[in-house]
Amino acid sequence: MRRGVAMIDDVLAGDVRAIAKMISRAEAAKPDDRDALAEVFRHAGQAHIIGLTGVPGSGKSTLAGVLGQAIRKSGRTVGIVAIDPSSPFSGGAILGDRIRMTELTGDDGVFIRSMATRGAMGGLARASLEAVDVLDAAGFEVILIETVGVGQDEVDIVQAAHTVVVVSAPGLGDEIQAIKAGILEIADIHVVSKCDRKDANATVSDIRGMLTLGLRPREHGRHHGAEELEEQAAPGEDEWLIGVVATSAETGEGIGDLLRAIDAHARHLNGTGAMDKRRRDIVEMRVIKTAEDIIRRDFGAKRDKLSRLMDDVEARKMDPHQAAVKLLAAFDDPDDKD
Amino acid sequence: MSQDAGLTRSVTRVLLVQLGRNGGDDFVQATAKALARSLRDLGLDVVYGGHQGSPGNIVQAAMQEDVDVVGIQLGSGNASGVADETGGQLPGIKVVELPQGMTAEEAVTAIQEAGTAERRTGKQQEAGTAERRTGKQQEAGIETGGGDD
Repeated sequence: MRRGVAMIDDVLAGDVRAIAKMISRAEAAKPDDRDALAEVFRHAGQAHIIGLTGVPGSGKSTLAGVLGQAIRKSGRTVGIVAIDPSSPFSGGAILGDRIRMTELTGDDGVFIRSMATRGAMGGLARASLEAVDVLDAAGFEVILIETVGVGQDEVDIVQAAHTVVVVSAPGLGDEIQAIKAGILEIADIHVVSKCDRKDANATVSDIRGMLTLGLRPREHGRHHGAEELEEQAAPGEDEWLIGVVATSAETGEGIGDLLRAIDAHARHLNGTGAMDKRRRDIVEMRVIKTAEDIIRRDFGAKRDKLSRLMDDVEARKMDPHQAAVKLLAAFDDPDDKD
Repeated sequence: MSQDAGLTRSVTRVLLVQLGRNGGDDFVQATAKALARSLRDLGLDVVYGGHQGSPGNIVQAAMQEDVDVVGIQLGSGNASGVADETGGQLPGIKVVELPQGMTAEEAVTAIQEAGTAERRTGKQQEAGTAERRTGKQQEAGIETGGGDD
C-alpha cells in the first residue's frame, strides 16, 4: 500500500512534522513514496528559489541566516535547504549550517533543513530539489538553497534555482580557483561577504574587473553596479545587469541591498519570460539527473552482466565504450526492478 | 562502499546541541566538535546545532531535521530533566542528556545506543538497507500498516 499520500494535506497545511517526514522520504527514495512525492511536486511551483553558492569559507551559511531574517522582515516566509558534504570514508556527515542561523530559530515562518550530499556531485544532494518541492508545496514563499562549498565543476545550482547568488569573501585568495571552477559565470548577483574587512574593496574591484573583462554572463546579460540593479526590472527590459553587492553579516550592511537585488531579479525573470526558460532548464536537469540515478541504482541488479562485460574489457576484446553501450542496453525497463 | 550506493542509504541522524550557562564556552564547544567528528566517522549524520537558548528551540530543530536522536550537552548548573521535557514533545525521537564530565567516548556510546534502540534493527549499514525508520514509526504509532496517517 502506498504510504503518505494522506500526509499530503498536512504538508500543504504547513505541519512541521509532516514536512520534515516528507523530506526524509525524498532522501530515502523508496518506491512506496513515489506517489506522495509526485503529489508534492504537483503542488509546488509557487516559491522563488534562490541558490547561494561559493567556495568553502565564503560565508554562505551566515549570509543565508541574515538574508533569511531580511526576507522575514519583508513579510515573507522562508525555507532553507542547507547542504554539506558526506565523508567519503564513513558515509557520515557534519551538517553545520544551522549553527550560523540561530537568529532564525523559534520563528514558525522559517523552516531549515540540513542535508548531506551522500556522494552526490555538483554541490547539491540528490534529493535537494525534492526537499525544495516539499517546502514550496507547504507554502514557503522564498526558498534558499545553500550548496556545499563548491570547488571546480560543481555548478549544478545554476540549473536548480531561479536566482543564483555567488558569494566571495575577501582575503581567501581564491579568485583563480573561482575562475577555474566557472562559478563566477553562473552568478545573477555577486556578493562580497565580510565587507567590514578592509580588504573587501579589493575583492569587489576584482569581481567588477572580471565582469568588465568579458566574463560571459548568463543569458547575455550585462553587468553593472548594485545601485543600478533596482532600476532595471521594468517589464520589457530583456537584459539583466549582473551586480556586485558588498555585505556584512556583522554590521548588516548591504543585506537590504541584496534582497532588493534578488527581488529585482525575480521581477526581471517574470517580466521578460526568462522565468519560463529557467523553469524549463530546472525540470530538464531534474529529469536527466533522476534517470541517471535510476540507472546507477540498478547497476547493482546487473552485477552478473557487468562482471561478464568486465571480463571482455579486461581481456581487451571490447573497449569500455562498447561495454557501456551493452550495459545500458540491459536497462530496457529500469523501473521493473522495484 | 561505493559512493553511488550511498546516495540513498539510510543513515542515523543526530541533532547535537549545547544547553545551559556555559554551553557556549570554548571548552564545551571544542568537546562538541570532537564528538560530532567521532559520530560522523562512525557513519552518522550529525546536525550540529550549537548552543541553544531554550528547550523549545531544540524541539523545533529536532522536528525540522527529522532526527532519530537528540544529544544535549549540558553546561554546569543544569539540572537534568531537559531530556524528559523535550522528549515529551518529540514522539519517536530519543533524547539523551550528555552531562558535564561525561567523556567523549561515553557520549558516543550513549548516542549510538539511543540510535540503535530507536531503529530496533541492530547494527546499521551492514547490508546498507537497514530500515532505520521502522522502529521509530511503530513507536510513534504512525505510518504503519500503510498510510493510515
